[in-house]
Amino acid sequence: MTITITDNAAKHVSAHLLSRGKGIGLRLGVKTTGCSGLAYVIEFADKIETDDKIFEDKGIKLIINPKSYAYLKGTELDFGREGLNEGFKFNNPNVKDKCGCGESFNV
Amino acid sequence: MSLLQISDPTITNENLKKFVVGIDLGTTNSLIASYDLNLRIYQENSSKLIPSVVGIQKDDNILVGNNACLQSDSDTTIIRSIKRIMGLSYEDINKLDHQENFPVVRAQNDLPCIAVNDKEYSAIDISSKILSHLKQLAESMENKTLDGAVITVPAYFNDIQRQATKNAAKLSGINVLRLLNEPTAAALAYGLESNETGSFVIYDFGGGTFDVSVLNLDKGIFKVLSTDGNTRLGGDDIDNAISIWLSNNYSFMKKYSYSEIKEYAKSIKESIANEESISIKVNENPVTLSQDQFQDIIAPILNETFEIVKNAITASGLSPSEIKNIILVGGSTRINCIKNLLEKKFSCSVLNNIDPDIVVAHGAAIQASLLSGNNKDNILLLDVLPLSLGIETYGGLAEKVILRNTPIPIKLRKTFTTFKDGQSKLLINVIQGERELVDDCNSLGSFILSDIPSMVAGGPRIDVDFQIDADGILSVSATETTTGNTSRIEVKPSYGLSESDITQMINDSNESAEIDMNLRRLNESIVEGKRVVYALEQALNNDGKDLLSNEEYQSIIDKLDILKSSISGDNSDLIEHGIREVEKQSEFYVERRMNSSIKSLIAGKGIDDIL
Repeated sequence: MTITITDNAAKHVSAHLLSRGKGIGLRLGVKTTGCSGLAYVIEFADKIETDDKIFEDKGIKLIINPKSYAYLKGTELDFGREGLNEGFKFNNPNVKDKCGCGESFNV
Repeated sequence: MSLLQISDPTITNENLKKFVVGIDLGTTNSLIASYDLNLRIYQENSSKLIPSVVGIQKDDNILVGNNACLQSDSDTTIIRSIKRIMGLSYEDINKLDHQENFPVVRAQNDLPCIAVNDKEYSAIDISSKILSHLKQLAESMENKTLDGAVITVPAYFNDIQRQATKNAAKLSGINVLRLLNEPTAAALAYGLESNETGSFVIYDFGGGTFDVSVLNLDKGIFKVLSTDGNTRLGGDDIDNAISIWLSNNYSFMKKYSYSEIKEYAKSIKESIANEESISIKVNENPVTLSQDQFQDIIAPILNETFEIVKNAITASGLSPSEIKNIILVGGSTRINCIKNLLEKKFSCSVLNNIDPDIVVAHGAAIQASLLSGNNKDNILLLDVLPLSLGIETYGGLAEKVILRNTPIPIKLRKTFTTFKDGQSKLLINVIQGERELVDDCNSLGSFILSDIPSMVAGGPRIDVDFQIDADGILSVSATETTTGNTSRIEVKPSYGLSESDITQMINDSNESAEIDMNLRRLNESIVEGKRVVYALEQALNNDGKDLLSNEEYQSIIDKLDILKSSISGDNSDLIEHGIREVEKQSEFYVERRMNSSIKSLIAGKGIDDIL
């Protein structure tokens, strides 16, 4: 199973990477927090750790550590707009339920 | 779901980065430095060494460092070498071989004080002036407020002397991250902690004191095995020896005062380093000194230091062949022949490539940077938690409280609650490991928090504090917040685990991530299922017969039984399905309960009472 990125999200990621001036890709992950257990992490990646899994889609390197990968398998990273906000969304098929605030999720 | 933004790990690090320094609070000179990829030493008037000198003027104005040294008028009382009396009692000070050049008087509580202009200053007061001065220096150069400091103390300092140093720091508004032994700081500067094990001698030959420490490194932790030294042996004695030689060999020296001769002696000492011989001119009179002559002159002093090293090694219980390295610290070790002689005498390699004046401050700065969590990626972490620590929660799940690789010391709190109505006790099982299930982690110990006041499940707030001190001792305490009842336990987190055990546990957690995830999901659904069963059964016992018809009652019981049997299995989908079925079947019952409880709440009350 891979991790993918939508065209729209890829466009935004490349723009972000370009304006930042450095970084080899995007690091995706999960951390335990929030009211429903897990929350997503999305940050610029400057290096790859030995255990990392790397997926390349639409020219973007998506870097994930093996522990997070178990929770993110098959996820598609999307970019969307909700009202005034715009930002990234994880379309994660593993998610069973989410908490009310949308911060955290359960698998 | 909420929309996310990409966070930049480097930028957040920069913002979170704390301004921390290492301070070498010396007898003669002090240094303050920070370490962020590179060492930065905060200089005063372009000198790295800041004299540990405090001058108190007639109007009680305080001067510190080079400014104090420049004052030669009689209006200023100059206090030097305050470190020699730090933490000592009046009796201790009187017992010292050499009385200091300041009048020590006894003040309240037997605290020895120095009287200047009708005011009394304790050693802590004077030290705090030096520390404040260093702090200001660093803060003005960085234009930031200092977040914390690692301050070095001699390895032989006792608890009272250490506490006195801490108090001085407190008085000057410095948050002490840790006191660090000077020899350990030197070893850190050389990165010796990356060795697995080994024993080292730190040869610290300063301006006025000579200290030797034998350190043992085990799993990244330094232990001081023995210390020895002579608090009245230093570069000064070498200058004196050369001065005497000059006076004895050159009759024209009689024209000069002793302090002038000593200046010449000093310059000879500093310039002879690698030379075969040197010649200087003293007022047209040539003075020549060969390397051999120089070594003969200082031989008695050096031999005394070598004797002390021998004694320290003997006291440590090691044989000289077990010593891996000797590290040179202190300005006097710049005299080149010391290195060669030590190598010959103790047949081990001598480390001297870091400036011996700054090596202690260097190590302290590295330690400060490590403790504050800066530079996580760039240097090896010395004192970090090797494995995550947490407690067992309902359903055999491991809830991590402090994550692996967190620098210690650290204190963290998490709040937990009860699972059952009226639960009066809580078993706190402290666990260590990366896996999701308690069975796959190590249990470090457990304790019971009792006398929890009777409340509904989820009502009580139980604060669980994890605290790891600098020595790696973990103490876990649980406090029920309404009553303040507390129970606690103390454990050594790394107890019984070797380096390879730890690596194995981390690898396991990566390899088994998926199995763990499924197990976690199963356990979470079991816990949730049990909670639903428990809550519903409680409710049914309460008012089920009143609010439900027999058929309705039975239909809920049927769904409950299906859920109960799925809980004993290991299919989380089945359990989740069971929960949904029960919830669907009992929806109308929940509604009726709500209505009836609202009715009972508002029955017989006027509108004003309710609103």
